[in-house]
Amino acid sequence: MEYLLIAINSVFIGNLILAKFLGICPFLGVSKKVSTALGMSMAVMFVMTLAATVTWILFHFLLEPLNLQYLRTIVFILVIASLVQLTEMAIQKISPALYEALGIYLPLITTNCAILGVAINSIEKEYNFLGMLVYAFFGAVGFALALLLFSGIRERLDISSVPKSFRGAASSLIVAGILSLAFMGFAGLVPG
Amino acid sequence: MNEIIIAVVVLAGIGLVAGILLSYFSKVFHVEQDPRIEEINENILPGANCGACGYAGCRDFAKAVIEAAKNGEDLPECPPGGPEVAQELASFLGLEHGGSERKTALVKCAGTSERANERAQIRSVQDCRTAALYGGNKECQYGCMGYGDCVKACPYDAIKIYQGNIAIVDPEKCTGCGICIDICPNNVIELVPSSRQTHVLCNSQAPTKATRSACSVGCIGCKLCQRKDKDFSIENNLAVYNAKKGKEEAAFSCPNNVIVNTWQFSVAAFVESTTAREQFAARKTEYKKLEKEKRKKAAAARKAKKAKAAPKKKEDKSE
Repeated sequence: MEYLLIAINSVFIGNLILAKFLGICPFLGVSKKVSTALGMSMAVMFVMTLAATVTWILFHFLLEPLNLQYLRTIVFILVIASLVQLTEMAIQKISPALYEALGIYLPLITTNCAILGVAINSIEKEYNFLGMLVYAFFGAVGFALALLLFSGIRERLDISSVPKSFRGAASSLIVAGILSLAFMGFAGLVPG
Repeated sequence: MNEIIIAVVVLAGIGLVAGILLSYFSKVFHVEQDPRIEEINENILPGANCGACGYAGCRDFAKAVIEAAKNGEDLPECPPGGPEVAQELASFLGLEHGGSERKTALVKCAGTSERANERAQIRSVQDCRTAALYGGNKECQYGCMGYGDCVKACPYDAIKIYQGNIAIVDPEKCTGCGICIDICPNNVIELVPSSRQTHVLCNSQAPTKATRSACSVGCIGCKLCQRKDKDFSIENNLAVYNAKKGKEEAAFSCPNNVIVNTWQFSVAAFVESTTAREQFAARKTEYKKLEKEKRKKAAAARKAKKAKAAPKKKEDKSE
């Protein structure tokens, strides 16, 4: 039950993009087509879970015993960056098909703030290991949901007749705002 | 003090471990790749990752080049690199040079504020794309509006606005990347081969009467150039030039001075200075005079021939 709450919380109520405003860059950048949005979401899902796991372990078994909690931001950045590099190399060797599918998105999310945000948040909320895993994975699911919704809307916007001055970025930003408003409606769904 | 040392040691240690792991695994997970890709990327391509070729960076382009060479297709083009890069690529891959030509952007309009009639003054906005929504500031709907959207878009500072409100491209600085073409709402800008010396400085597709009343240097689609040079054609009431060099006569034949040639003056000179146009006009009249004399001589020769031939025929008959 507890984990279900965490999952719902991170997908809907505390949606990374639409409620916490993290990872806006890929949200606007790679949402022109549903297919690219899907690729990005997969890469984020993969990296986010991995990064949160590693940083959680590092925090609880290295930084905490040494009383170095204040170093977590810089350590996390360092670890996430090298971790993504490492997985990129590994995937390229082990599964070229997956590498082609994730393509350029893997290195792109090295510096994605949503990844770092999830890593830090799961420490801040004092989740245990399983809670952190659920939080990170469903955070990425929430990210994917927002990205897919947005890219679907944008694909439709592209073929509908929008007034000339609202075309492109202008209408996209308005849509993003409305989507965010809609997700704000989930606030209060889960007490606490 | 102790705390600082611990912090530094921990951070440096993590960095060191990550670095060692990365370098170790880069060996373990090493994937064989065509070494030519790296070679092309680093030594031949400009390396600006500008994306003008349509690929996601120079590396991707290099990959596509190798792929194309393998399949025997035409190599993709690198617009900023131009013919030099195409030549190098071809020789590197042991292929014949495909013949991509360096291109330059050309603003096909010479309708300065003195030459083209103003339709309205748009005071609220100062950019072309918004002005285009209002129908533009000139009677001619096809010409350069001169608010300089292309100037702002050009990454190479190659375009400037002449005081007569016409954008002019500096062919020395232009790399032919084509960014200005996408920006311009009236599609006045076109990529032409850099070696081309004859240009049609008009974009008006309006019917003859409308063009003539709107602008003194507009193409009215009279087809005189087509008669002088078969490389010209008239499409949508507008002369279009397709070959590289162009005959001078074609430029001289244009009654509205729409077609110019740049043997002597640059395109900018034709738009900016009146002296260039005057000198060009002088050469034109001189040429026309010569042509008239030629025609007269030819006519005289024909007459003489006829005169000669006629008596002979009579003699023939009498015999």
